[in-house]
Amino acid sequence: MPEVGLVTALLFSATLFSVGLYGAISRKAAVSILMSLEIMLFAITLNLVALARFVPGAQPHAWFFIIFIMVLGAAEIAIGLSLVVALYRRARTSKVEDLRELKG
Amino acid sequence: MLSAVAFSVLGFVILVAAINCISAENVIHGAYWLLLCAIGVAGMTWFMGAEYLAVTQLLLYAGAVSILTIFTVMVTHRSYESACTESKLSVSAVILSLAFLGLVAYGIIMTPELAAFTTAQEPMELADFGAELFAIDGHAFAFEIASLVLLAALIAAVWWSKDSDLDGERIAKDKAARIEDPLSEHSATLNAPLRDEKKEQQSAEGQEDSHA
Repeated sequence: MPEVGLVTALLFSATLFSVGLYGAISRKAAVSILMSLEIMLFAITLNLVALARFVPGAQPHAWFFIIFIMVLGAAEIAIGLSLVVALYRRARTSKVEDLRELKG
Repeated sequence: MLSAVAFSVLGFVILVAAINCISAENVIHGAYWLLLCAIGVAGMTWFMGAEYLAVTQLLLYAGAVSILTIFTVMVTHRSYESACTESKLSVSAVILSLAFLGLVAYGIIMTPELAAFTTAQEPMELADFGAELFAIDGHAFAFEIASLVLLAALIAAVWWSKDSDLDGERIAKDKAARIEDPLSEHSATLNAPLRDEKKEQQSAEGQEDSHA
């Protein structure tokens, strides 16, 4: 059974990242944008997992980076979703294109 | 352990789930596709020899984050129409993300050092990882900072999503307006049945008067 090398794994995570990038740019609902950001974080995680697997001596540090990225991702999604809820309370909408006022 | 078969199957699942997640017209369908994507990423992490990280990924993203997303969708999109947005293919976004992919892929392929890494390293023992994580001369400080970040995020999330004063004011104003003038336009929708009844009553009274 042929093994998958580092280059293939990095290319795959780059593809996943650009899918998330497309979603973050093109979607209009705030929750969809947050979900696209999650996909981008998945890609970053996979990237680091692949590096930890193939690069000699990278393992403990790469694992710490993955743990911290997961922590930051969880914090980001919690704050992001609570901002969406706060936005909905104020503006009664959750589509970013409806938000034209800078204050209030 | 990461055979080409497992990589292709999991990669296919992840990419299909991700594309469906960002192109789903209904937000809640997108949230379910994101769940599948998270499970696929956890599976690929498992096959890359990082079992502990795979389980963490599964718990955190497939468990907590997906549930949080679905609850937020339920809170903010009350009706079916508001949960649906048209998902037109945005040409400029496609060009931008393809350009990004091309640049990164060019960088990866043009770096000959990366192609040399084809043999998998021995996966780390979980006990060694824990000892390194909590060692004073290791990453204990960063670990504490990370938990402080989580605490700050927790407080911020509670602060932002609690009932704001604005909301309370609006509800109080609505209530006052309704008590003051039950038939005003402000409470038109709420008191619509009441108004109709009153009109009918009035017209009925009028008819009776004309009869008399």
